[in-house]
Amino acid sequence: MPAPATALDVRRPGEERMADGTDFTEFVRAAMPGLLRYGHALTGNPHDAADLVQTVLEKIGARWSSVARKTGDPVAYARRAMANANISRWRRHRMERLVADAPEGDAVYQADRFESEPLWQALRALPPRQRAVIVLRYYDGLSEAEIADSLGVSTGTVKSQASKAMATLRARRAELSEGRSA
Amino acid sequence: MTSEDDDLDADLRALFADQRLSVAPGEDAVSSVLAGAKRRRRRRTAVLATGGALGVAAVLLAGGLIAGHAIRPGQVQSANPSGLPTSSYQTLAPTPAPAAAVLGPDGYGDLTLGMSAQQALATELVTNRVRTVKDCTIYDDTRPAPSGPAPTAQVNKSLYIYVSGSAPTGVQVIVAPAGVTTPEGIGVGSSSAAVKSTYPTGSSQRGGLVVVAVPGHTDADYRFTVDSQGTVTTVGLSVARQHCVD
Repeated sequence: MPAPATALDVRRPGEERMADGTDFTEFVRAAMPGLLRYGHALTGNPHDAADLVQTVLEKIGARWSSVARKTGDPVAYARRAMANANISRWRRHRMERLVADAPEGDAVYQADRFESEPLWQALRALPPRQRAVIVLRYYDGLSEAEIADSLGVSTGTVKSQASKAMATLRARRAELSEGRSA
Repeated sequence: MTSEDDDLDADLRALFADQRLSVAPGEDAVSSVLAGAKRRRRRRTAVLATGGALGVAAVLLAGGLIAGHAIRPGQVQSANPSGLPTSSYQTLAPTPAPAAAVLGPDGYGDLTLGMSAQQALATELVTNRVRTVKDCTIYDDTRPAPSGPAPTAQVNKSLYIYVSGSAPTGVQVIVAPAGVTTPEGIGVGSSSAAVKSTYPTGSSQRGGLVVVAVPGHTDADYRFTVDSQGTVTTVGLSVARQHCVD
């Protein structure tokens, strides 16, 4: 049960409450660590994760009362929005992905804690839509139909993207593991 | 090997459960989200007030606007049936500024390499600050491309640029919208063989990227992304020694 509102509990402009009394500030504070972690899995690095979370939360905050009204689970809503935003951002800035060398060269990424994880490296190299399908399936535990719905694609696309992704992950992981032990 | 393959499901779950995936929020992470949300809400409200093309929401709100009532946040969401957050600038600009047909040798239309972000925005060819990577800020144009092939996942829809905040400063990279070619006629859909025969000097290739010297310019490069079939998918122009995209 949420705590009852008190006299001090004054709603400031832009801090609309959900039915259960959660305001946007509380939501951001509580959801931020989980969303950053999720963004890390989606984007492959902490820097892009922070960027993605910031953008998506800003948009949600700008229309918080509607989000709060329409969805019972704003965290799940934010995650779906992040998956989609990450795909469309990549689409718009494809060159950046291709032109920029593997981001390991950048100081921001040097503290990559998964440097020695072939599976992580392989995952990071997947195109964003394939990566999103893998994250939604194994991080969120969604079904193919739910993934299709979340990403606005057909279940056929989800199936084909998932099988492509899994094949690439297998091959790439084997390659990286061999390269490392050689 | 095969047993390892079969573990992929389990390994992915383990990877996503790994504690090292955690990212500590920055000190001001919460407050900057709140500030950003407020800014976006204000911007959208301004679009509504100037009669932006928001369809249903604008019509519904018109009465309130005329009566001089303030728009409360939360009243403006009905134009988003998808339920997903929409970009607040989608509703802005209806038509792009007159665009050039060619990219190069030193710019695109009024946009030239080396100009400041302010000068670049003043051309009205780019309208929107996207984000900053390292110390380079990306600006793009969210309006539809004036011509050329329909945008797909493989083809960039719109123009975007990188502007560096440190030396060398100014516009470092210009990526053309689909449909624009170099003065030598290389554009989206050209073959990588055509790229090489057109630009024999200064060519380097790695992965899906081909970088060639702009003819007659030692200080500028064309940068093409090429797909696995050897077809050009993006055409860019950059300062030769820039740090934004290398």
